[in-house]
Amino acid sequence: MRDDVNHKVKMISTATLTLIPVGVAVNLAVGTVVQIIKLPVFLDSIGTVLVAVLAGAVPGIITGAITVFVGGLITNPVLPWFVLTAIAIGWFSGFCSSRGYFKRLWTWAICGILMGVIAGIISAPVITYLFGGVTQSGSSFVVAYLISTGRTVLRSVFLAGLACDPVDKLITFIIVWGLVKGLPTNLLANFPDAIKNTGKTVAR
Amino acid sequence: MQIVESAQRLDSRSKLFLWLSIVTTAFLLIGNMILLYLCILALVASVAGCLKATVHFASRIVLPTLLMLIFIYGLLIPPSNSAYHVHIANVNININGIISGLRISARLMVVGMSTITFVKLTPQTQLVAGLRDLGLSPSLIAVFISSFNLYSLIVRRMRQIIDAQRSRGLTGGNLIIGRVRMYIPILRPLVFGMVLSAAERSALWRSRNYIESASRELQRFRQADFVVISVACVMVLSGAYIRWLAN
Repeated sequence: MRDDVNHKVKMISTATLTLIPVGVAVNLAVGTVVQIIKLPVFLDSIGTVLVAVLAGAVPGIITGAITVFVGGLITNPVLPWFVLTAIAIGWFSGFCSSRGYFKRLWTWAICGILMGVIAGIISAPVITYLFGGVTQSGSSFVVAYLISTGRTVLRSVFLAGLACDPVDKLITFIIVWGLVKGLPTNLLANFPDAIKNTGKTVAR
Repeated sequence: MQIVESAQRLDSRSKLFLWLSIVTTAFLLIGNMILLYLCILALVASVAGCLKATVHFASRIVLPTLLMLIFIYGLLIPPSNSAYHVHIANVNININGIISGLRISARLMVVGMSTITFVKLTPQTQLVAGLRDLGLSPSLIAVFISSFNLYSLIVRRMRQIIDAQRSRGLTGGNLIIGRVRMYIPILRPLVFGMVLSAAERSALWRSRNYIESASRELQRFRQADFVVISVACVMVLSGAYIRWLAN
């Protein structure tokens, strides 16, 4: 397993290897700023989606995984428990990019909403069994209300996640759309698949 | 200070194993054992010189979580079969719910303090050597360590921009729309700058003919490392025993 991981890392280009830490730093920094200005969303996967769109699913997965471990060491120790969610975001973004779903804005939006649903489903068991259904976010009150109506903790967390995560991931995907649209094409030349997958044209 | 110096001389693999064991045991222990565990770790953190970072972490992460847990478990959704209530000013507060919230917060505090202690006692160069001895490729290690450095760089730039805006009176107001309008536009130049610097760094690596090194020998553990690993194993096994066999 370790040799397979090392082999895959060796296959990644130098441009991608230097982009992955940027994705990690953007994830953590934007998440921190969103907490400071008290927005009701997370926006902590912008870097993961950006790396996955530019470089593919494997770099996206690596970015997401490193984000939660580095974040667990320096910002919030509960982050590593959400590593599966981070991996799913990296994989799904890379998958949608490779299938050419990122050529129009409305497909970005649909992929964002779907990603939110997937993230909510994967995060629900972790929040339920490790944290008793309560996190620092405002969705805990939604969970409490749903539990008081007679639902189980798992179902309440799942429904609260379905209400909050799609909005967060939709905003994330639209932000990444804006970022990719504004990147210069000579920079994108380092990532050949990105030009094909996002429908950008290279000036001749 | 001698204890801190001794801890810093430990192999980073044994420190990593100890950190993982503390985190695992925190989630295995139930009941009031977790509060005892918390007291022991508080003592370790103060000896290791991490008290300030621990208090900062507690006030930013644990205290808001604790207040929310007490409100939700003590008032809104108390645990089932709970019998102890306190009636204060027409409000029925469930004591079992408050204790349940305290236990979850104590678990979070244990995980946070062990992480802070691990980070404070592990220099970056030692972490790199330890990760190499674990068998990870230098590329993966470079990506991991670069993330720490770039995060501090990007946060510093963001704080500079935000402070400059606040000094010009751009506070964004209390409305969410105002705050979004003020802060989201700084995202684009910041991210673009980081992506462009990644391209420059990539060219620099290629110009230095960045290749992976040849195979290396594993560093041997010292006696102190074996002691730490043994303590970590005993910790996890006792936590598992208390969780599954003693109850």
